[in-house]
Amino acid sequence: MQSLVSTALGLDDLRERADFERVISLNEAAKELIARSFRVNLLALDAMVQSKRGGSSLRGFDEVSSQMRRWSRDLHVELERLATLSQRVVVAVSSLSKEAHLLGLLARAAAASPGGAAAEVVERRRQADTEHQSQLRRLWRAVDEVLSDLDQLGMMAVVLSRSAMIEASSGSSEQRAQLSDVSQEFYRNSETVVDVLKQLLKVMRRT
Amino acid sequence: MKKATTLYENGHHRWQVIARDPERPSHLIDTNEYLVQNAGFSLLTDPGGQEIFPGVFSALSQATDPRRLTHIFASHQDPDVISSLALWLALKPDIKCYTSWLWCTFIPHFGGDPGTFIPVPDEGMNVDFGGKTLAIVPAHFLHSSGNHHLYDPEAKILFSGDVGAALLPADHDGLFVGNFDEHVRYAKGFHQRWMGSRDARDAWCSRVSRLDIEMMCPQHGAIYRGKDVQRFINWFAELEVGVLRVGG
Repeated sequence: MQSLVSTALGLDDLRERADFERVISLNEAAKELIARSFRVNLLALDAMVQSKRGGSSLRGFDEVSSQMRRWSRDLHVELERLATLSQRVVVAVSSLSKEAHLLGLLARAAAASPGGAAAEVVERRRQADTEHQSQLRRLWRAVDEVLSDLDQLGMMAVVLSRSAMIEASSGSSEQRAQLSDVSQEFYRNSETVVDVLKQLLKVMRRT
Repeated sequence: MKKATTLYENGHHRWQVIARDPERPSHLIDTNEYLVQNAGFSLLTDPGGQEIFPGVFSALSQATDPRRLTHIFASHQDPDVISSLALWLALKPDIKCYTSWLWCTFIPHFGGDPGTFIPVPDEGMNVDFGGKTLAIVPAHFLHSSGNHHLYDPEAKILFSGDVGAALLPADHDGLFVGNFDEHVRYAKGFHQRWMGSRDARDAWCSRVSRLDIEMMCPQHGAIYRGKDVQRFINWFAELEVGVLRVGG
């Protein structure tokens, strides 16, 4: 019984703290990605206006910009999925934390009166705790799937921004300078998205 | 989910309210939490009960990295004020909690150890908050026997705990008091029942009337702004308190 007490009062605290840390990393990364998605959306909109003004020679740049805009929307949708999952993880971790605390107290009560009703309650709660742990693991797996989708989106953005750099060279010399700046910024934002996701995946898959 | 809304911002100095959870179960009283930040310090007022922790945590995460939370201010000992303490400490064990000395051995029933609490004396105290001063002001017996409010002289914001609270119907979800006369109808019964001492009420009205307050922020209901702050103090000063009516 003593080991159960130790588990409920000690290791679980560390487990939940680690889960909270992961949620915070997720939320902080999501804030950065939202900012990048917003920035790319604005850039793409502006680039589409510029390339339309440039006529047929910039049709390719117009197409790439429009794809960047679709990309930023797709990123936004995935981030909303991530936000919903993050909230569900917080609910699950909070609930497990409370349960672990109660379980620890009940286990102490059970240890003080062996064979009493408290031992049965402890056993029931332990089973429930195991089930809640499984639910939490399922949620983390779902988070991991969204992150894999986001990772692919990040790589797609890098490819698109490279295409933008190539298409930027099709215009007149004045247009080339402007569009080159835009495509460079596409690239910088894409690189940041990839870096943020790489860091996040490292944190999430470490535990 | 609750939302974080900025009330005041000047450089790194910021007040945000975390409020209005459309998914809150109706059997739980609605609460407002306030996040005060300055120069690496982050303080959360009356962080709420265990049941609303996920909503407060998620909304706080929109506003800041929750690992930056350094302090909690508990106006008093009620469960809707501070029963989530153990969860905040699970997230960050070195958070310090300001509360009345009276409750420093009671609140640990919710969580924390002696090192968690900074006891506030009855007369209140000033707190250095990253170079700004926050004043913890007495509000005893309003309603708790050891009760404090938090005043920020630069932001001109008073966090007033249960004073100013209103039990608003679901369709009155505005963050700020719109029509004062209509609003206090929802505050009247609460203040008459929960605020039991006329002397304590008079002392509080006299004390806060001397403060320069732009916003008075209660733990429940809407925020009073501008002239509505003094209007509230005048209304409260005239209200018959300590009223027990059969059936509530």
